[in-house]
Amino acid sequence: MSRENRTASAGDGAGKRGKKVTLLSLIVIQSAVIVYTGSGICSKMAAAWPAFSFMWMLWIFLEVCCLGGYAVFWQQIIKRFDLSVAYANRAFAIFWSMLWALIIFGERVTLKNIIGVVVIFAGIMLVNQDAG
Amino acid sequence: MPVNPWIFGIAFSATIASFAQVLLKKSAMEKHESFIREYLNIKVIAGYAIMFVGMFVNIYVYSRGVEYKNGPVMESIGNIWVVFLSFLFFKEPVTKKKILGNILIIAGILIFYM
Repeated sequence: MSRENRTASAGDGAGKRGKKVTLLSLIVIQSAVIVYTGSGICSKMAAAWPAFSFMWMLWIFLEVCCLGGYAVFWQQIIKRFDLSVAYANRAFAIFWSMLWALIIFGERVTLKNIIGVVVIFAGIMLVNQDAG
Repeated sequence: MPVNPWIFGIAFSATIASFAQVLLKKSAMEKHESFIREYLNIKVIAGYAIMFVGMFVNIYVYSRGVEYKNGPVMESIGNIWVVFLSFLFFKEPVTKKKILGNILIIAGILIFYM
């Protein structure tokens, strides 16, 4: 479906799709991306508990909620914005995750880590430019 | 600092998740007799089951001392699989930008672990 949508959206920039990207819409799209990165946080949190313990199951439940919420949220976003805008925004997930690694898990993020992530980000943006 | 070999578990779940996407896309391309059938069919159920397995693989990997920051980095391998699999199963063209993008992803992962 994505390919047809993309072709259609290229033609009707003023239509329902290809909506103008405002600061507010960026905040909305990035919120969805942040919900998505929440799933990884839950995985790491679950891993700290013994398998099948209450907390383990709670974090897995929260992870499924994150993924479900994101799926619904994302479906609405790709209805309203060009896929290129949506995917470019999603590529930012890797930066949010580095921030969580730093502030939630207190991990050491080195300069090489940051450069690596920037290069990966550029790669994801490039791949998605031609992907439908 | 030596790299924890368990990070490849995350690459594994990103890989099976890419195959799951193929199943979802195949189902989305088919005509279904009802709205419910668009979701309740063998391909979609298998696709989500595979991703569910991937989630547990990741949790296990994290429990082996892998830091959270490795997750999104190794997951970016999924992008490479998607380019390859979408060509293999759906004949989507492999463009120069996709190849260059994939090279950058691999380079970025190598820099991250240098």
